[in-house]
Amino acid sequence: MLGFQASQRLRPLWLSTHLRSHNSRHVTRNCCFTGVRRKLHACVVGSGPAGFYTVQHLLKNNKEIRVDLYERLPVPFGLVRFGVAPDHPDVKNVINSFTQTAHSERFTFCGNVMVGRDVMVSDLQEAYDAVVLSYGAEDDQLLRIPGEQLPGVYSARAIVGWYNGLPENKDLMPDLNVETAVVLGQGNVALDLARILLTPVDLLRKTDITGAALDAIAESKIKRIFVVGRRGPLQVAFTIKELREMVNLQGVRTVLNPSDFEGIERVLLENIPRPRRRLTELLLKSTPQGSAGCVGHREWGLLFHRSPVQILPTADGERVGGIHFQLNKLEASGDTMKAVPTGNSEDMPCGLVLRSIGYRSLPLDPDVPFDKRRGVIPNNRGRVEGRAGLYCSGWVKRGPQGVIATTMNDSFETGEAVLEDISNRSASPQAGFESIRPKLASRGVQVVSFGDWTRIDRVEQERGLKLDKPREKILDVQEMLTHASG
Amino acid sequence: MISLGQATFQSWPPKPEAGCASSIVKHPSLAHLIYPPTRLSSFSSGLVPLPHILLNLTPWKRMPSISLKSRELKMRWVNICLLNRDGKPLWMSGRVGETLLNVVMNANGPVEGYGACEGTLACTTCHVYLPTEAYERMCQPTEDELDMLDLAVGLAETSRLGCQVVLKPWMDGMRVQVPKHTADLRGLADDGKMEG
Repeated sequence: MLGFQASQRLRPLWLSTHLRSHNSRHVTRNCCFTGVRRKLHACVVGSGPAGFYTVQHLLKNNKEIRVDLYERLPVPFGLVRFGVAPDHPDVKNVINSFTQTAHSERFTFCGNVMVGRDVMVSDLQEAYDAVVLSYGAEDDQLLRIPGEQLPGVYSARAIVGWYNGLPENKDLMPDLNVETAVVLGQGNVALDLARILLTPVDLLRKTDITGAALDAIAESKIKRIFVVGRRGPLQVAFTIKELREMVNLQGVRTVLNPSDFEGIERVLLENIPRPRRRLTELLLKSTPQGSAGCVGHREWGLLFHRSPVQILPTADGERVGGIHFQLNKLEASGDTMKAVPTGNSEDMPCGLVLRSIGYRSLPLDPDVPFDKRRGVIPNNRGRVEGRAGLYCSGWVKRGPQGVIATTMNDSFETGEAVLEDISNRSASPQAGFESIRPKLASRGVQVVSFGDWTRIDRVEQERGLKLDKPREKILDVQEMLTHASG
Repeated sequence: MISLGQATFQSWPPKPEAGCASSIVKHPSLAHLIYPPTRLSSFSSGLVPLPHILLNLTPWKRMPSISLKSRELKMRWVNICLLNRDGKPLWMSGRVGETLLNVVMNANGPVEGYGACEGTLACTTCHVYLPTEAYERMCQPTEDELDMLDLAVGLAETSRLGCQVVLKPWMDGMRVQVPKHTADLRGLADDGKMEG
């Protein structure tokens, strides 16, 4: 009896919400038909965190606007899928919130469409009230030193793409049949690489790392990885969470040279910001005098004050044999410390070199202004300079740095700019994707909708289930498209 | 059944007092007078999450619990005032033992992008500033929380992650602020940059 009462009580509540959302839907539609309110239409290029956060902000803060999201690949989420390390599944939870956004009826996902090739930015500007570019930073910085082209030198980006299943990197197959690897650069990507290559393979097995990468890492002979920076311990760019993971990595010893840390304790007494202080304290704890760190047969270490000058070949000249470093000392230059050569140098043998000195954005379309030096689209709080109706967010806006919360705030800022401008503009109604679709059809582009993606998603998860991992990613674009069309 | 508290409910959620200078604001909390602190119009404004209503407005659930443990129940709900990024105060209520993140999520996500990692200590999107008194009264943040907080934009003395703030009876009426950080994005340029 009580149960019955309860369900009677509950039903109207549920129904009322349901009906309410239905009603509001009708109201919007009527407005459009009668032309009382103009239908606003925006599009975002790139479906990584910046793209999705921009969409989220637009949809949430303007109840009229429709947003279409263009993505080069058939699968969404950009670096959340292809950049976040497989052993950081929690960071990927943000996909749930993005998926919720994508289920809005005012949202359309247009996957497998490459802006700049299949459709130009000028076409988009004709079809939309606002175009937001958030296509990220797909290129990586080069060292520009002799020997960089030798086999055995890889970009961090490519390796990350390889173990995360980025289609363009699926055939990379780096040769891990070496004992010593060197990562150039001391950012979080550098530590991600070192960690993935040194993590016991049984732990990786439970992640969404690609099967091919898992096999290669299981066969890996890598015994030690050095992460090298041109400046000192107080200038490292990685963050404490990633460092702690390295220090606590099972079966891996942390090797730090105590002489690098001379005088650091004195600096800690000064008033330095808490993040830097805690990071440095953990570094100190991990030196041989410190207490932190694991024992193991494999090791990793940080090397400081070294700039690579040349990548040295093996005796037969066929692949990487080592690196020639110039040693640096630090000199104050304004607010920062600059590395200047001491005149000394050092050779270090190694079989694998991973350069991780930053990503950079590429120009998308000759039509869009681009600052080649900074590798960003010149903009003012997200408004592309000199181009009304064109915006940017994420790494292409402010450069490849920061955590997901940074990108979130940055995308909200751009979203705000779009909404501010869009309400002030009085243009004729824009057709949006409907006017782009024929162009794509004539080029034979198979557009992947969000529903199509969920089909790909299901296939990946089913494959993962058999292997006891969250998903087994599909690496081939053609195969993705086959599953997309059901 | 609903009419039981309508007159009293009209003043709920309590209006914030003018001027937010004092950190813990004493306001006439009605949460302990009538349980649960909800009414239909607040439901439609999205302030009170659906699950609360389902759980607690149902007579068969509410009646016995009040009569059995009224003293304990007094403190089971707390009201929190969240100053959103736009500076607007939002009153929301949560159960003791719930995290602040949960309370915000249950309120239909009035704070955009809040809790991206869903409370797994893997992001900083649920970053809030607590009143000093509350910060000091709470248990110290764990090392893992501090590690994440160190990445937070606009880190301050009383910064905490919402997913680690567990509601206590004494938090009733507490004002927490969501950092508005779009302004200082540019100063961040050097923080996450990779150094070669």
